[in-house]
Amino acid sequence: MNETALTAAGTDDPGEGLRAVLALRTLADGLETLHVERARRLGWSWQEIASALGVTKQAVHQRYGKRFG
Amino acid sequence: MFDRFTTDARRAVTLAQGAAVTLDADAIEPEHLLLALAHDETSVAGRALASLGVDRATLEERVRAGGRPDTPDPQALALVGVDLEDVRARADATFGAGALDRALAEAARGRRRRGRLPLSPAARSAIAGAVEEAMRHRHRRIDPGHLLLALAEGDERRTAAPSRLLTTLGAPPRAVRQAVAAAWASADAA
Repeated sequence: MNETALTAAGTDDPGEGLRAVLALRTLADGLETLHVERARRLGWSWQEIASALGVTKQAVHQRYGKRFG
Repeated sequence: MFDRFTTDARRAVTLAQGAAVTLDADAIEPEHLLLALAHDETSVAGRALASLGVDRATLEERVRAGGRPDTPDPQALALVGVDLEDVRARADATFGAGALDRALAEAARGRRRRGRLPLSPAARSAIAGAVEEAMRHRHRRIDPGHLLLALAEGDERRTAAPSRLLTTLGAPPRAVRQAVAAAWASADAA
């Protein structure tokens, strides 16, 4: 992260900070979808994907099982 | 809990479930019940709201403002030093043109696909309020009119949001009571 980013991350306006967190979550969800789909196509197991994401196998399967099963 | 509910009152709860899922809520809130009531234009509540000039689109917009957007806000990301265009370019370079936007849309659909949502404590309280309204009117069945009365009346702690929203849109509790009474009367006459 560059200096501007660090300054921005320290914004003293809670509204701005929270808005940034929401946008990051939404972006992270999209990136997660992208990579889980690719990992499945490359033959990763649900357990491997779950470990990489730091969640349980059940959680990742419940979320993506029907789509990328 | 719903055994004395009329068919259209049950439908309102089902529609509220759909609204809650669409708006990415964790539970069915009283606001979602209000949206559902406004959506069913032929019900007592739908007709009462229409007669009060409560615009469905405006109502949806106000409730939706609390929901989660499908795409990240680029300006908000810039606040923490993330350049959405840069992320998009990198993702598309690896996964093909339009990959990030497709993934964001897919993730949004995934959020909506979650299972049934529970009624929040506030929504339960609103439903209990509707049962009380029916008892007060000596009505045997609970219809959308009773639900609307309970939402309009509010309860200071729990269901204040729909009551405030209705008042802002020109439908304070007293006006809602009159409109619901009129809608019931015209239903009886028909």
